[in-house]
Amino acid sequence: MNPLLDQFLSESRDAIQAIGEKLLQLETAPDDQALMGELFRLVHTLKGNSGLFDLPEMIRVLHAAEDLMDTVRAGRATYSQALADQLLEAMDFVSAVLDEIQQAETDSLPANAERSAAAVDLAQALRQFKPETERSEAAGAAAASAPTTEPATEPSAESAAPRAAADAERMTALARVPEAVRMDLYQRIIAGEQFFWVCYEPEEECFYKGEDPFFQMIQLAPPCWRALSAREPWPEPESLDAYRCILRFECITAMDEAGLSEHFRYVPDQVEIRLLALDDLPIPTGAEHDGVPVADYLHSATEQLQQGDLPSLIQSSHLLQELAAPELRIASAMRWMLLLLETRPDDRALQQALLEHIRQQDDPTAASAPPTPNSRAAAATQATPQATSAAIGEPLAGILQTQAEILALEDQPDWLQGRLRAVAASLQAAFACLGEDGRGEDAARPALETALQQSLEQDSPHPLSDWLEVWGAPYLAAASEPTASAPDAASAAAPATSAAAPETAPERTASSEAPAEAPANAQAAPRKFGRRLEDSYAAPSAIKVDQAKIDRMMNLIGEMIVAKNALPYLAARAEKVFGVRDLAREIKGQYGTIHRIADEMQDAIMQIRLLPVSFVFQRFPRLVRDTAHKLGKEVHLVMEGESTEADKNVIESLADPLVHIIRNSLDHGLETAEERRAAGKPATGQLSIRARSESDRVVIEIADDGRGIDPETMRRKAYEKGIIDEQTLERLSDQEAVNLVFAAGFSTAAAVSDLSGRGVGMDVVRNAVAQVNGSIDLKSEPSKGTRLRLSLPLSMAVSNVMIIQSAGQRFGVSMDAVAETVRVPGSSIQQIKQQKTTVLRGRVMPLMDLNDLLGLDQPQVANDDQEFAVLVVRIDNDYLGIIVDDCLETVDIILKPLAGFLGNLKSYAGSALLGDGSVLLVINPRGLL
Amino acid sequence: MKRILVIDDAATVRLYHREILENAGFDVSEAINGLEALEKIEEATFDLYLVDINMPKLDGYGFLRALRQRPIPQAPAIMISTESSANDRQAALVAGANLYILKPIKPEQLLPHVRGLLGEWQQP
Repeated sequence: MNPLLDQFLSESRDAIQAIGEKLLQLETAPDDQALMGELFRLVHTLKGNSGLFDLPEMIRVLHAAEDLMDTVRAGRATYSQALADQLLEAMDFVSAVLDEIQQAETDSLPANAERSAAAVDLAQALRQFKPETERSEAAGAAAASAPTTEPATEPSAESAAPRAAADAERMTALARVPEAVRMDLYQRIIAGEQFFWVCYEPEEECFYKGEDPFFQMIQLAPPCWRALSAREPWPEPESLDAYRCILRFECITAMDEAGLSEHFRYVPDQVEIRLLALDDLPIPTGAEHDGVPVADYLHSATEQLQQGDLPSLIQSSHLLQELAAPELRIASAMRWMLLLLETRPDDRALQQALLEHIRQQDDPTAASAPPTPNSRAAAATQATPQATSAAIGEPLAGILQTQAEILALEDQPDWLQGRLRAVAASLQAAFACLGEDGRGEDAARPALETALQQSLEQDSPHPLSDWLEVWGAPYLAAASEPTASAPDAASAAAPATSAAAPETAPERTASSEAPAEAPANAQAAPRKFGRRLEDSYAAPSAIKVDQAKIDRMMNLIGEMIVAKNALPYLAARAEKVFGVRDLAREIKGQYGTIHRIADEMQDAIMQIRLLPVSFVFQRFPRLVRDTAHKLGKEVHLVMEGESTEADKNVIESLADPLVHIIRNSLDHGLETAEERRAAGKPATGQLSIRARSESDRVVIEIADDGRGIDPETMRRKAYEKGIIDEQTLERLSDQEAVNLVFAAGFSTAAAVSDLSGRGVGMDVVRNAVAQVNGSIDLKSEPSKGTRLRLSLPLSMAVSNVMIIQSAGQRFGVSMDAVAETVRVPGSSIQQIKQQKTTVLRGRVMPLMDLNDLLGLDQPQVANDDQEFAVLVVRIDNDYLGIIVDDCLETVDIILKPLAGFLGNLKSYAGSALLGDGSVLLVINPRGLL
Repeated sequence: MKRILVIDDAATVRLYHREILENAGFDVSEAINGLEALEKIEEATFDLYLVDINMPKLDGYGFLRALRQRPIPQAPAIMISTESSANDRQAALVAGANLYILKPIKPEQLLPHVRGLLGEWQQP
């Protein structure tokens, strides 16, 4: 994946996380402006970032969210829980899109109708929270900022162009269609036929995408008319890129819209299909007329039309048509007029529009004359006095224009001098770009410096704006930006303000003396422009590292520890085999040092892998809130000890079990407000999640004050489901009955609910916890509540195992499972049926031979006193004695799970390397049975 | 080589601009907010600033106002924003920006403006 996308994903995830947190914080403090500001900024940044990629749906949703936040922040809409719900949902959507991107590893997801529909719905839902008056405006803004529209970098030229311009454009395009064809179409439309105007502008890289625009077009049924043209002037042959498509295909066809959409289904964004309207067609075309009494005609025709005197109008139109040569535009206009009068005598508006059109064409001073097809480019070169000015390029024109705007500002801020200098620097740079043509750069530059000096002395932009007016006029005139009137305004105001300016100059020049105050000034600046200053955000100073890198480091350190453990053997060999006692001592000394460093390294890497439990806890407030909401229960969540740390793997393995436990509590444990009141409890239920460290373990308690688990119900259900038989039913203690929730296939809920009863029982939770060598313990009191206690190791990386010997081999057993080791005289082992047993501290304990369990065909060996070594292991609160040959030392090992087919061997938890290079198989007592 | 300071709190945007500008042969430095940018201009001189509006601690407006009060050579600044309203543009120019460009920015849209403000633009 490319690094930019990678960065984007990671930053966006952080942002979404932070947004979620802020929203929840806002629930408790809805008036916190700082919080609101930060929230807005997060959404804003997220939207800004997604703009770098092709993610229309994401931007649509984020834009609506940002818009809404802005409204809320400004106090025009009120923050509510429903609003928060909607925003959270929007963030979930964004999150899902991010997941998709991550999987696809590309920044342009294939279009997906479902996704875009979801985006539209979400954006719509977000907009519902805005005050009535702002909605339509917001919708418009959303549409404008949607990335499917034109790139928005040239706001002045593109976005400001009103819709009318697009219409005019279409009209000029139609003017290229021969008059005879149009007249024919006109009559056929009146007769009830339908025609579509198709304009297909293939994208520039279309040839690289396997598209064949020409073929695409000729595949269409023969059209009434078609044309092929270039979208922009053809470049010089030497700079022509033959693989860049700048063609425009146009045609008028009688095909229906559905057929056309189907035909262009792969390039819908590059095709414009429009139903041809009757009044699109009457466009007079032809050469300029000269000496034809058009004005007289217009005058009388308008009158006749108003009076409804159509015969006279027809007559005067005929007259004018005869006067004008047929190739003249006015003749064409008359032909149209006569056609209109003949076919639609009652449609005055149509005729009026045509008259208006003729009037505009006739009056050279009418500025709004719609340009004819090819006159646009021509106008650019002819209309402006300097043919070169159009060629200075969009960026330079934009720069000059903007500087003119800045110079036209009337304010007198403290930073005016700096602003003027920066403007001068910008102007100088822009003129330097023009310098190659030798157009006055030499003369302009000294003049610019003089103007800047004068401006600085007078503390006024006018000398500079005067300079720009003189030197920049040709270029500024070419720039057709809507704000072009700014310099004029400035120069008009110049005499008045420049007279007053010198007086204020002396104290202004001192502004540069206080650079240190600058940030302070900025803080104190008017709120209007500094509105986002308060949006402080604590940037984390942490770095992100791929977990794989840390795992690799772990493995390397593990190997180093094993390699280190070879040194004592080496020292022993040096002494015993080679007889070099001094060397042996030095090796031992060095071993001590390496040992210490290795231990510290191991400790350090463990520290890196430690994560606070808040990593998992942070999603609980939302989970509890949403779930309680859905269930219609009132729940107060208490979380403690979020900073308690444990190994990343342990923490991550906790996430799902905890979510399940919490859902269970909310769904089955806590009662509704009415039930609680009836039971004499406070209406709001309490759910607490507490984490703490206990020596080398992390303990997490989830407690609720709900209805608890009734042992009687448990017994009955377990019996009904066949989990226990009749005998067990009678023997079961209350605690044991409660523990039945962990039995596989057990679900106490009467009905499977939407939330917790998804066929995943507490047995899955227990297994997940057991997998990380943890244990789970449940206490419940009917109608008082339930408490679950999870105990987990701090780290799974290093395990403490006891080495045992059996059948001449060494095995390891995790110390977590070992309750104690005892020596049992052979005489006190009793045989009850097939089962060996012994009595340990007044309790009967089953005994098993390890050799039997592992399928080793040897009897267990007793020591000289005829005592057997017994390893007492605890499995789910039951004790079992495993007879081994001997118990040896305990060691810290790095346990590696068995890979491949060996992974299916349930009897073993994994293997580890010992210091002497031998491999130790570590037994999994639970898997033995 | 001309030096450009990119000021934006979003690492993604900084990386994006850095790639565009470095490929075009500029020396790029970064600052994650206005305050850090003010520190950076103490240490080095820049020929152009690319400034985001929305930033923590000190936003783009604040940075520009402070910058324009410093007794240092005043280089042009481009303000980059997602707000297309005339008010935002006006505010940026008042604060001391020399150009106002809308996000998202494509390389072919950014570079001509950057080159133009550095006196290096040529008619293609």
